[in-house]
Amino acid sequence: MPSTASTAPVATTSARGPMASLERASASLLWILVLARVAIMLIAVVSFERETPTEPTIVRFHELGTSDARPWRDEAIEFPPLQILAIDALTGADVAATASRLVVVWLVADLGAALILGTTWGRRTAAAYLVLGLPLAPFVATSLDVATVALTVGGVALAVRARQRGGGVLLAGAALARLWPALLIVSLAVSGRRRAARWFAVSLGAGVAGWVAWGGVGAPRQVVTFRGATGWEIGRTGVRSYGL
Amino acid sequence: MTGGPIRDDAGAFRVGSASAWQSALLGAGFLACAFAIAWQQQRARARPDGRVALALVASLLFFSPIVSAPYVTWLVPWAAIAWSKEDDAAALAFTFAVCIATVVPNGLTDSLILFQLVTIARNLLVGWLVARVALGVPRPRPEPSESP
Repeated sequence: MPSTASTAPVATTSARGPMASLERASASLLWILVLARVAIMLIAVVSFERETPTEPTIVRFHELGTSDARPWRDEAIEFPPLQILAIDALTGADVAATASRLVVVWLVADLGAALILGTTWGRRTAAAYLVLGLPLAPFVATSLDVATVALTVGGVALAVRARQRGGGVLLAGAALARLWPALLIVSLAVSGRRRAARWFAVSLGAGVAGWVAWGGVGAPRQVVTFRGATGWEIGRTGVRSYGL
Repeated sequence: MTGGPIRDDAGAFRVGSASAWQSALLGAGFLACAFAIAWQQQRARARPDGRVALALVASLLFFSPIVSAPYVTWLVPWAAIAWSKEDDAAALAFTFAVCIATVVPNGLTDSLILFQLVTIARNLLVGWLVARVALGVPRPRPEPSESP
C-alpha cells in the first residue's frame, strides 16, 4: 500500500505541526517520568542514611548476603539462584548500604526495561510502561523484581526480533532469578518461535542442574513453596518503610 | 474466613493456612487458564507479547496465594505493549487500576472494610485480565508479520 506521504504530501505537511507538538509532549512526559524515578531513588537513599530501613525484604536480603550458610542446603531459602547471586553481590556493610544498592539497581533496571521497550516496541510503549509503573515505584524500589522484569523484557525483545537463541537464553536466566518469566516461553512457542523455546529449555535445564548440584534436590521446592509457607498473603507486603 | 492472626511468614504478612486440596485446586486452575490462553492465542494467531503475555502472567498472580506490589510489576510491560501494539486500552486501564489498588491499601490499614474491599477489587481486576483472553473476549488481533 502506498504511503500517505507519497500520495498526499499536502496533508502530511499540514499534519506535521500537531504531530510535532505531540512528539514534543511525549518526549517531555518521558523525561518527567524518568526524573520522578531519579527523585524516588535519591529520597530513598537519603532516608536510608538517616534511619536504618526495617522493611522485611531488605532485612532478609542483608541476612542472606552476610550469612556463611550454604544456600538451600544449610538453611531454607525462598529465592532462586540468580537472585541469591545478586543479593550476595549487592550486600553492603550494613542494612542501609544494602538498601541503597538495591534502589540503584532498581533505577537502572527500570530505565533499562523502558529503553528496551522503547527501542523494540516504540516510544508509546516505553511511556506507558513508565506511567503504569510510577505508582508502584516507591513500593518496589528495594526488591529485585524490576531487575527480573528488565531481563524478561530483554529476552522477549530478542525473541521477537528474530534473535531467538539469545532470547531463549536470556529468558532462562530470568527464570533462574524469578520463576514467572518461564511463562512467556509458552506464548513465544505458540507463536512459532520454537528455536527460542529450545534454547530456553536447554539453558534452563543446565541452570537447574547446576542449582540442584549446589543447593540439593530440595532447593527448587523451597523456592516454589516459599520455604514451605502455607498462609494466605493479605496484600500488605508493599508497606513502605521509608518516608515516601 | 481464613482464620488465625496475621503473621510474618516467609517475608509476607499472611493469615490462615492453605490445605493440600486448596493448593491443588489453585494449581489446576492456573494450568487450565494457561492452557486456555495458549489455545486462544493459537486460534487467533495473536502476538505473543501483548495481551496474551499479560493474561499469562496475570493468571499466575490470580491463582497465587500471594500478590504484592513487586509482583504486580510483572504485568506492566505486557500491558504497555497490549495498548501500543494491539490498541487494547482496556488492558492498560485495568492494569493501571490493579497498580493503584495494590498500593492504596497501604494507606487503609486503619479501615479493615476498605482494605478488604480494595484488595478484593484488585483481585477481581487481575481475574478479568485473565478471563478476557482465556474466554476469547475480545479476540486478540493477529500478530503482524513484520518485525517491530
